Amino acid sequence: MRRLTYLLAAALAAAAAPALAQPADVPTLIQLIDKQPAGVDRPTWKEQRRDAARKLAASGDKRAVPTLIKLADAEAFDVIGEIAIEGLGALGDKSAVPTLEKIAADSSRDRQQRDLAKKALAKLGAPATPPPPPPPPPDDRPPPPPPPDRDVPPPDDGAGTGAAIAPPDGVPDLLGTRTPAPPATDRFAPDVLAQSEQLTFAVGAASLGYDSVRDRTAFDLDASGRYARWIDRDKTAWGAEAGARVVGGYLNPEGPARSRAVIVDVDAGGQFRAYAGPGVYGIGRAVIAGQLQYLSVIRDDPMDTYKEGRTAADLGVAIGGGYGRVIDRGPRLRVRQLEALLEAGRALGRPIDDDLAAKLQSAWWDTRRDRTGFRQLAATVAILREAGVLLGEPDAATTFGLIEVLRDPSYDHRPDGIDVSLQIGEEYLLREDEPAVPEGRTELVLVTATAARQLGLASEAIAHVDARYRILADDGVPAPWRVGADATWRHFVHAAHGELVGAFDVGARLAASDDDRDDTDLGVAIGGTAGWTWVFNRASSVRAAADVTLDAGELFLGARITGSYGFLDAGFARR
Amino acid sequence: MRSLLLGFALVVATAACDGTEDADGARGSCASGGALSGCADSPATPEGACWRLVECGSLPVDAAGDGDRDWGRCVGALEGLPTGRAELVIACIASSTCDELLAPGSPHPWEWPACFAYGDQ
Repeated sequence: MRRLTYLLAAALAAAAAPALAQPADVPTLIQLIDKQPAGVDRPTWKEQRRDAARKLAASGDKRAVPTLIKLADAEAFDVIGEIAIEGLGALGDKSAVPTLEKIAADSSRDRQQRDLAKKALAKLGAPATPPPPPPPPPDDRPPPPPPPDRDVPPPDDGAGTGAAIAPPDGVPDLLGTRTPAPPATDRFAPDVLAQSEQLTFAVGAASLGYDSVRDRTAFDLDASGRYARWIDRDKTAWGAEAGARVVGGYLNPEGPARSRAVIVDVDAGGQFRAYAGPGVYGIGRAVIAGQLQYLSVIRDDPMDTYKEGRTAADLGVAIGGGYGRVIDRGPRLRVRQLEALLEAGRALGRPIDDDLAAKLQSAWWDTRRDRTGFRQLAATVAILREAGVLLGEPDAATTFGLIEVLRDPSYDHRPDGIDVSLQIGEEYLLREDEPAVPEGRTELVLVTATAARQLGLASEAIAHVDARYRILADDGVPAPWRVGADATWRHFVHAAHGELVGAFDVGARLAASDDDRDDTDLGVAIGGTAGWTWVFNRASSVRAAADVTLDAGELFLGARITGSYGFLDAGFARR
Repeated sequence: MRSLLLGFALVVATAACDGTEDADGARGSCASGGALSGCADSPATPEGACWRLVECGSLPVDAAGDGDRDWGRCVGALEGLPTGRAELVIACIASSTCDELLAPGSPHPWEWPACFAYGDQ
């Protein structure tokens, strides 16, 4: 009974504690905010700081003002910043006015923080907008130098709304510095469904050597570059790409023998689609390609030399119609993964809707040419905080996850949809210096079909069919045809904290063709492949694969390792 | 794009061959016509380059006559070239249009395509 009485008394004492609370120990609270106590982990300290800030705000003690000013100014992502802003209004010290005015006018700050700053200013009797600066004194001093150039996001480049979007002054990033950030707006016009851009440079081989034993110099180079861009809109779609490849070699052994080779390929192409009705479209395509090939072989016998230069040019146009559309959903899947990450970390304040997804992708698009992902991360955090999606300052695990999602290449090139087209093509082939090769006009029918399905965030299935048939050939001129089909299933594998490890893929292919010649047979080939791809960055990877092919009755088993390195890969998908 | 073949390719069976006819093989999407059909890059390996020659109709998968030029002899020929020369011949095959890869007599050629001439001293 006595023990029960003690417990009851203790409970009553605890309930009465707030009424009997002592005045806040301001120096101790300030110290707690400024320095993480030993033995306290960071999340716990963060909570203790917030609690200390609340107590300082309610203390009525002017000694708390400098600390709260510092918090209000620096803590743009944590709720402690909002506590400090409110506290400055409650403490009534005018020295906080400049800081509060700056926050209220900073468009890159969280809207709630700006509103709280305006309320605090009202409590202090100050206007929300600072008065204009006084005119400069009439002296002979030279004007101050302009601020250093900032890396302002590129202006709208045709696909967007065209609205002039002024970049904010800067977003306080995770390290506390202020970095210019992309605007938190949807830069894409409402009818833009998807957009992508790729730029790749590749060096297949490059070597220069001198063999002192055989007195032999050898040089070879195989380098190429390609740029591609595609935009899908409600009623139209268009894309363009261009590429170049240079192959060169020089071999100079001892003696008169010498070989030189130069091959230069250039090509460019474009496609335009006009959609009429649900999925039905008309299509127009054009391609142009040219090649210069020079080969010089000087043998030991000066009479036995080989020199040949060839030029080739292709000009082709095609028109036709089709149904459907295949869209790269990768960027939208990236947003979904971002949402899943925050939800798993219990940091998701509300779901990410299409409008917010478009804002995020706009920021990513504007930073796609950055060498590092710093601005992309800063803008993503700012947008998520502004929208109330990201609750509080992201902890280490969430920040790591955000970085991994933003640079995860498994969300590039994730096609989805069905597309079937039939085209009639007209080509003109110029093959100068090569009389054995047919040139002139060629007409053909082209059929292409793609069915792609994204099976959640980590898997996809894609199938292609293509067919061509030469038509309107002159009598005696072969009219070859070919039909090909392939299908691939791919599964992306991530580690525990969201980092992409690689992808496993399984595919099958089938091809049939006929040269329409008496001396060749119908060709039929079937094959399959299984591979694993290690991924290093958004555009670079190494793939190991095993292949099996049955072609004209011959069975081939093979294995290969393929590597590629890229520089830029970006996209947008509204849904 | 950089491609490397570390593995191997092995002809396991010749079930469909009666020993008297060439096995021509299936053609690729750009075996005839121009750039409108499009053409995927071939791997920069002896095997990949020789598959491109088959798909372009330059040589058969398997020639009936001993010593006739076909996929297997193509791979052997490229693998026998010294470093430097082989890389350039392979790059030449990969970057040429299909009609430029036709050799005298293709698709049952009695000579190699012009790309093979590089470094032939």
